[in-house]
Amino acid sequence: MTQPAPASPVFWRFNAEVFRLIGIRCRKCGHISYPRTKICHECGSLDLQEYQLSRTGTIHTFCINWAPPPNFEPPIIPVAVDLDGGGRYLGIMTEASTPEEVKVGAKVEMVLRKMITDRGLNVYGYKFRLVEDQQ
Amino acid sequence: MSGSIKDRVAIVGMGCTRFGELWDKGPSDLIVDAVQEALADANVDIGDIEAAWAGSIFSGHGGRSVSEPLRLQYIPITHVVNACASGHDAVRNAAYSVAAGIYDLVLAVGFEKIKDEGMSGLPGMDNLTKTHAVGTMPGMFAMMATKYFHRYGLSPQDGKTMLAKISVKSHANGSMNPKAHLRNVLTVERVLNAPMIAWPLGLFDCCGVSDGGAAAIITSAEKAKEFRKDPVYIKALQICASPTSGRLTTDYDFTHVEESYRAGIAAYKEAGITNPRKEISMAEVHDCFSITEAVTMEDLQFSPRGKVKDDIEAGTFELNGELPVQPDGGLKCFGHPIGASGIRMLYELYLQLQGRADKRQIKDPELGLAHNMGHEPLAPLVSVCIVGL
Repeated sequence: MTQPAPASPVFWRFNAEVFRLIGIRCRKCGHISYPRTKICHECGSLDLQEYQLSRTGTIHTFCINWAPPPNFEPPIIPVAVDLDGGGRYLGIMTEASTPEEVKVGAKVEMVLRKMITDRGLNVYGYKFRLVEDQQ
Repeated sequence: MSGSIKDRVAIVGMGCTRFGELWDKGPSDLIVDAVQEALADANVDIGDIEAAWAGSIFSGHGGRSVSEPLRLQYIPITHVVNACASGHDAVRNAAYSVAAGIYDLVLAVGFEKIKDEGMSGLPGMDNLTKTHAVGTMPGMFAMMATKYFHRYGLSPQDGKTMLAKISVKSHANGSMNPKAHLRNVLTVERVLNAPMIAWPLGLFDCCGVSDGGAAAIITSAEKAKEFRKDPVYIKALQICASPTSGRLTTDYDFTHVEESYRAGIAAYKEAGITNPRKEISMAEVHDCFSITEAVTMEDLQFSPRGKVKDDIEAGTFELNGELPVQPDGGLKCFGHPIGASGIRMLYELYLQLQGRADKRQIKDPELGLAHNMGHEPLAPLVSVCIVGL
């Protein structure tokens, strides 16, 4: 199975989520969720509003994947990042010259990068890089 | 909820193929081989089977996937697709149909011809989801290992050594099992020096990739002794589907699996078990990766949180230990032909309970637990089955 083609309608439909980083915030309990849901996973409320995620956060955990999915060059460094202000983003690192630089608790920021080339077209998305003043 | 499956149905026949890279066998071969062994074991004819449930993710397409190879004649057959718990869920549905009094003799069969999917690892993993760049299964579970080591203060070396002992133990058991795919004996040193797949997990932290099939014939508790003197009774069948909150919120800690914990609690309640570590004689758990087994020992309440290392080092889960885990070699040595795995686990518990496990025989087991975990640790679907005499 491959991912949807780069021109697939899902990339238009999910533009807000994927590129503008819109999650949801529950008006009733304040819970923040990303990706968006129709029902609040904390309290069950349907009264949800759009929430702009932060582009900075902290690494919750990571690995160094030497056998990545198709179209990625090994190694990739997948990370789970707790974003400042709420929401968790599963992404991958960029600009880490050695995996040893990546640590649980390190501060990171999102940058727009080419993710893969699929069927001759570039697919873009966010990657994380270490925030420099942490070095 | 007032109902319970405990002691209402029994397994009276089981079969299991050899697992491995079975290049010369297709799904039909796996189904026929497993079911023929189960029929002979129960001493019944294929024509006695009144209904069937088939567990498979990639290799099955509706009930005809098993009616054709088995030449089942116009009976109801359901294809169960429920992630890595598909085999257990086939057993669960078959058992419920008997408990409901609809049928007397039914078949549950699980199978997967992974090697026809043409790649290493599991097929069907998208390289990008709509909102998240994700990784592979080894990558997702490696993130769990990283966090577990961090949370409990284990250096990567200490953590990896703890995990290595899990794989060494499973291979020791698998080496004694003619049906296992991987039968080589490992050392901790070899595991630690293996090529890296997704740091901190190396090659021998990952289970095999194998084809296989397994089958169970189920009847009511009342009729069980008409088929054999030593039927194995079902004590609990539980499924716990994640609401997937683990990937929607920042609450999930990556050091436990809530669904395994809850499925365990539900199964212990159904089986009337109050002290799992003392009462469960043996377990076959979902060791897709070494870290998965480690965390599952805590989720099923065999070890206290953060303390599984002590039990691993004490040999608690070894074949001659206090609570043997993966007596047949586990996913580590059998790989994970998805639909087959849950029933393969039950096959080992069944043989052990009947005293037919040969060199792997555990002394006088009374209760066995089988656990499957589907999807990734953030949002899994877990099954827990308990069987006993």
